Amino acid sequence: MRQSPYHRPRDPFWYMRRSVYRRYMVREATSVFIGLWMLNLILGILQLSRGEAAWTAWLTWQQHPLMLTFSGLTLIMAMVHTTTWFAIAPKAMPKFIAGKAVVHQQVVIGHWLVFGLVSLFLLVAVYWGA
Amino acid sequence: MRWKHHEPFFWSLFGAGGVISAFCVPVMVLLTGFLLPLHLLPEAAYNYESLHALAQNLWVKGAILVIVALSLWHCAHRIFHGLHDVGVSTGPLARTLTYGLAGLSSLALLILLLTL
Amino acid sequence: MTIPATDNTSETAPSKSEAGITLEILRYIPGTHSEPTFQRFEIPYVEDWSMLDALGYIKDELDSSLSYRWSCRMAVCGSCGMMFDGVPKLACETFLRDYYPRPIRVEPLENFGIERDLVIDQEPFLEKLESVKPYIIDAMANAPSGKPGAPAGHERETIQAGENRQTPKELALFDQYSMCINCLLCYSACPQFGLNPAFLGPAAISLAHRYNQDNRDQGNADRAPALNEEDGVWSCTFVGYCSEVCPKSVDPASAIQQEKVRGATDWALSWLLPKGAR
Ligand code: SF4
Ligand code: FES
Repeated sequence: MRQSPYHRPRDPFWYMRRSVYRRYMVREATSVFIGLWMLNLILGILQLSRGEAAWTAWLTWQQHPLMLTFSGLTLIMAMVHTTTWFAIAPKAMPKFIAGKAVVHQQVVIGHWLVFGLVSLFLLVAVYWGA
Repeated sequence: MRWKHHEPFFWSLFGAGGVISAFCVPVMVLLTGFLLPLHLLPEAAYNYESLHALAQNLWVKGAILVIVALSLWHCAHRIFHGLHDVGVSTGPLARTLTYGLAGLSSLALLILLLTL
Repeated sequence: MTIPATDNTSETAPSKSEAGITLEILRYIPGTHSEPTFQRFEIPYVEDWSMLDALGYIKDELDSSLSYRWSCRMAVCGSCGMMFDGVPKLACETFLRDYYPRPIRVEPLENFGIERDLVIDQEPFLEKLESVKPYIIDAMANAPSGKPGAPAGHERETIQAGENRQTPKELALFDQYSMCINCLLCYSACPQFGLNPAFLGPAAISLAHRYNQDNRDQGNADRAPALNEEDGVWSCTFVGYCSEVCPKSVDPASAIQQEKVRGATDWALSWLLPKGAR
């Protein structure tokens, strides 16, 4: 009779074991920072709607070293998200689009170009449009 | 085919949020997290009236809503699956705390923007 | 035709005075061991030995009870997958020289039940593979005189009617995914499979994708139930390590992503189309 196979116990901290997994966890953790930052932004819009005093209070709070540190970490994590997301993007695409072969490297470069344009557009809009 | 779950819905919105946040979040954090509080933006940005007026522009409202709501959903999806990864159960409570929170915050933002 | 004599000198066991290397192998013999334990083997170091050669030396010279799977010795059959220093690899294309002089830890593929020593239980995988129907379904439906959904017996008649042509581009849609040798390295690389053994997993989804992408195949709907399940493509969080360890550059992670897109389309259509057409 066939013996039932032996199952080794699972490691609950599996994500610490390989650098690939640790990098994966950092990628997933970007969501915690981006999410919290979005909530903070909603708070800012709420304060903006409540009048000048409330808005100024929110803005002052953003200048606190703690909040600046948080924004700094979020910026780094957001860049991690962007980088990893762009790297994966071509893999979700079909092999051919409109009869032309999809070249992964070109897709990634294309994403970064759009990223540059979006960022530049917003910065220009703020500095010259204001 | 009959669907016993709606994971494609969660995943599609996650994907949309992932794309939009990958493109928009870094520059948004740079602008509102650094340049704004460090007083590095043009003077108009520190004039409450003009800022308030800007936020009342329908296009700006729409952009903020789409970016924030989809990004929040994206984050909720990742955190939900992250809870599974670290061995916390993924029951209805985890779903409510992640997707639910993202949905509620987005709803609150929508109401806020409508009344702004 | 004459066959040139091969030079066998490097394959003869070297003398004891030469350099050695240590293999720490996870041993488990049901009925004898209550749980797996590491056993050290000191073997001669031969520069061009693969791990499979080293295991063969141990089995022939040191301990004949050692069990492991192998066949082709050339990365084709997919039977010799195991963990070397915690990384899933094929024993036949992993070499002692890449580790020398450090000792090497050899373990059975992670995330699987152990049958004996380095032999893992493939049964659950084979069931999954079957569930995605990895073969061409209704091949002649598109042949010149073929009728979709025709019974199997009908296929033989339609073969006379004309061949089922495929352009290089149509082949390019799936050839990469057809390279899979079922070595299961990707399953050992996948933490989601480790967390949830019911997950359909990288290779099964890659092979499903391979047939879904084949223009001769009409079986997408037959594969959809297994793929669209929660334990189908949706358990994947794109860790991506599966694609890194795959010895055949199948890139299972990309197949899963594309099957998610297909699944999401299916799901959206299930709302848009009238009930009967689903
Ligand atoms: S996809 Fe690659 S790693 Fe996975 S079983 Fe097939 S050949 Fe092996
Ligand atoms: S022995 Fe066949 S793949 Fe290694």
